[in-house]
Amino acid sequence: MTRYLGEFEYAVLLALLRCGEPAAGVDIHDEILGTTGRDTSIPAVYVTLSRMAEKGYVRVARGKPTDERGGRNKKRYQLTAAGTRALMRSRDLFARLWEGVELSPQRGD
Amino acid sequence: MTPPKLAQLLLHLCLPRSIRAQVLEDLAVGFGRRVGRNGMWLARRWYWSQSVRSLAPRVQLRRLRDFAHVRAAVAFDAAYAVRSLRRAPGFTTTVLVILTAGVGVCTALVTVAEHTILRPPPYPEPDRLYLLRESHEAQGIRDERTSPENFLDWRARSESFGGIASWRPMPLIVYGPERGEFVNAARVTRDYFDVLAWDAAVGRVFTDEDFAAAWYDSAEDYIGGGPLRGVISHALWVRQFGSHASVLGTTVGTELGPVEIIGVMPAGFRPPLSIAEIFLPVEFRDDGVGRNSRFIDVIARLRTDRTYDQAVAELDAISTHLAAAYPGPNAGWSIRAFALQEYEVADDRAALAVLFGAVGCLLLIAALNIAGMQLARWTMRARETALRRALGASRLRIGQQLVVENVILFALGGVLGFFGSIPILRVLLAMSPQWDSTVDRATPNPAVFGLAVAVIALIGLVAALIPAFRVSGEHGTMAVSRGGRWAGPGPAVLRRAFIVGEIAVTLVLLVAAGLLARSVLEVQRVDPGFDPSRVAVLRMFLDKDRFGWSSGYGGSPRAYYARLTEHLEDLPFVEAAGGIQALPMLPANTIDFARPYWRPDEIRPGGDSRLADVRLITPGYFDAVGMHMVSGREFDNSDDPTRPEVIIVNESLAKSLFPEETAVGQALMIDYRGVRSVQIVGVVNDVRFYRLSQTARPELYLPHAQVPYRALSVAVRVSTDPRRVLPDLREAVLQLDPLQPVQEALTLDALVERSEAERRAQAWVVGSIAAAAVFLAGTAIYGILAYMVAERRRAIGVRMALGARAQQVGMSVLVESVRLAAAGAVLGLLFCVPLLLAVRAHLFAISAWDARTFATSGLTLFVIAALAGLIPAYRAAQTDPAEIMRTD
Repeated sequence: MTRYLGEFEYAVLLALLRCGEPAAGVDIHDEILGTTGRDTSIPAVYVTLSRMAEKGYVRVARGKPTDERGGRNKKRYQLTAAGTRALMRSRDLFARLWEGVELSPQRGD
Repeated sequence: MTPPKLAQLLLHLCLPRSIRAQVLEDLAVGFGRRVGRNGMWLARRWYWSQSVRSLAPRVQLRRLRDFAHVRAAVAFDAAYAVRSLRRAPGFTTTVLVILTAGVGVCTALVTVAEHTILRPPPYPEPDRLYLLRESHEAQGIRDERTSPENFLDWRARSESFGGIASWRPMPLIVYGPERGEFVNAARVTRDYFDVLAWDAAVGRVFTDEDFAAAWYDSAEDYIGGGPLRGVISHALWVRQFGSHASVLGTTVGTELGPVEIIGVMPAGFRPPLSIAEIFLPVEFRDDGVGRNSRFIDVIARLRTDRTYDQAVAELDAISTHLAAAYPGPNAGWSIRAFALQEYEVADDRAALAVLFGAVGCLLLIAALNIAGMQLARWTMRARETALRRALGASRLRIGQQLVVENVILFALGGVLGFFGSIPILRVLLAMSPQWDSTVDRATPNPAVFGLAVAVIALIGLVAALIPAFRVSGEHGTMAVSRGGRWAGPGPAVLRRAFIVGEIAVTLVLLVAAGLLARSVLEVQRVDPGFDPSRVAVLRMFLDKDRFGWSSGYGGSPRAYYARLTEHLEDLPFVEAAGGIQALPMLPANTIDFARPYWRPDEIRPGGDSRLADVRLITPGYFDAVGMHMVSGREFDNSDDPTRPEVIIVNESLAKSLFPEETAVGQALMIDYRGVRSVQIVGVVNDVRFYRLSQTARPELYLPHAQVPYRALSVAVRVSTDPRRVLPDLREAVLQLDPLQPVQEALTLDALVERSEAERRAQAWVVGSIAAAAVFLAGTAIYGILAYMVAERRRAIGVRMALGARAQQVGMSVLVESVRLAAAGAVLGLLFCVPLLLAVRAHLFAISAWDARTFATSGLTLFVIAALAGLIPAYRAAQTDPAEIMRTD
């Protein structure tokens, strides 16, 4: 059965992609905040990352130690091939639904 | 520059473990970034916002797990638990029995309390209702009714109370088709139903016009102007009038004349401190019997814009004014306002307090007992637990199984306890007569039993968790290798502590039971001064209409009672008969008949500083109740209205008034129905009139022929069992006059017993609880000794192989048992201190620190401990060292 991403999962994976190299939860959180202005909670990000790790969309990768983390080598997350495919599926789903749709704020009244 | 510590703590507690470390770290990083970018304050705010939102992920993570998986696990645990409980029938049965008894008793008692103490009176805003009574500090009178004249003054002068009304109970003879019957009536003043704020269900309550045809109570005059109107209770309506609405307007014949029924009270109405079923209007006059006659009850409703303190101040002012205006009857008297709610239950409260204490102790013992058993059981299952741990079960999983098992056990025990409380409730009700007014239909309160179960369950659960927790820790595998039992010192010490605690509480219960029981015995040994065996008592209340003061129909009360006693003495089984206006031991006795007395050469004592109880008797009374003359003579038929007034005094009065000389022949002044001079013709022995536990008061006996009274109680000494002849006596009275029935017929024995029934009931209940506690403590001691012996089999075997004799081994077990008891006893002595302070008030003729009771209780404990240790000691002594060496 084809599985599609949930809304927040979509956002997290995309943000992870934008971050580039393996990123931690706080990085994803800041990326979402900076790009969209949406203030998420870091624990929620991690819960989502755990869930997607179970599904195989992300994998844990040890990143390079930085001064920020007190020099410790900590857990980062990285997109897998399955994750990339899931992202593409969801993108296509919404793109096709949006095709030919005109939307204005007054619509629906 | 660190994140807020409190927020960090919150995160630490709320985050799921799998992401905790990561999140904390990330938050610290984010915090650091924001401090640099936005400043400290914004960074802290951001951190707090993240922390608060961290409460959500826990719930989310749980949803991740398949709920069905959890359900399956619980179902498995439940089945496993049931199997495991069935495999340990001894444990399971014992725990269930303890739960049933403990929870059952607790629930039953609280249910009773709910219906007595905690039940609010059925009046609107009951906290505004006050009972107004009088008190006289110098005489030690704290709670006395008042007189009609005083009541009128209170009503006129008080502004703090929206309404003040009074009532007075009276038995009323209602004429049936062939004979008269007694109905309890109450004479009430104008505002009575307004103050109580109840209206009639059918018809109406009294209005002003009804009092135009009312009675002037003090002077026993009927104003006239139409038939008396009456309001009846719901119960009477159902019983006598078949609940027909046509009762309104019906006229009933009574000794007061015809009474027209104008209203029926609703079924929920209950007059305060009264069992009246018919209410009649009464007015008082200012110049009635005198302010000294204190016999009416007063109830008042506080105005909403006044406080209790304001009312009390006002009452003080009123009583001061009355004492100054009428020093004779009112000097030294003050008015007290008792909250009705509390007054009604004051006696019950004291009695129930003792019971609650005892039950609390029992619950504690039950909880400790179960805790000890849990501890033992789960310690024994150490091997099983360690095995499961080794096979990969998490602590959480093991804990879950333990919780499920305990939930099943305690739920079952709780249900049994709930149903068990029903018969216990019945037993409690049967034992205490004053409780059963509306408690008859009481059913156990679910909330209470839930609480009791919860308390015990909590303790039991904790006790089970301790060994399970420790065993499932790092030492788990070591337990497996040690042969399945947890050999560490922890659980054993804890278990001993539980048992010592149990024994301590048991000692407290034993002492309490012992003291109460001794009080009962002491009371029974008291010589009341009369002989209540084989005495029947007929309470009479002569029909007012037919036996009024003026000689009307067959004459006055004096003629009637003279004929009655003669008639009764003619009966073959009657040895003596005599009347008195107030029976001993009757709860309704007031000190209304307390009157001043003084020697002719003295000044009359001021106020009410020296009072004696006046008794009106017919000749034959002393013989009937078994009193005897100390000197002088009894009354006889020569003491009639034409002769000088005579009096008999009791020993105490004689000794105090005439210490050096004989009282017989002396003159005495008394103030009863006017000041009069009387001559003392005899001295009679003292009696304990009010309660066996109360010493005699000075008493004055006046001959009924000279001072008649309508309501005498006739004591009849019979040659056989008085209970069997009560119907015959009733018939005999009706034979004399079919319209003059007996109000109540009972035996003097029953009255004496009734007066101390509560004390006996208390002793009985506490005694039973103490017995249960002893049993529990004994089984607990047995349990731990048996366990200890089983555990140390090897060591014992080695000892015996090395030369120790069987007796020595056995003795060492017994010594252990006695040591437990001793530790418990010492601790118990400490606990006894608050107990004794509480119980002191309920004791009679025995000090709370009675050495004998303490010694007996302690001895009982040691005996039980020794008995409990016998079987384990025997088993230990029977150990065969050779077999031990072989099998290990």
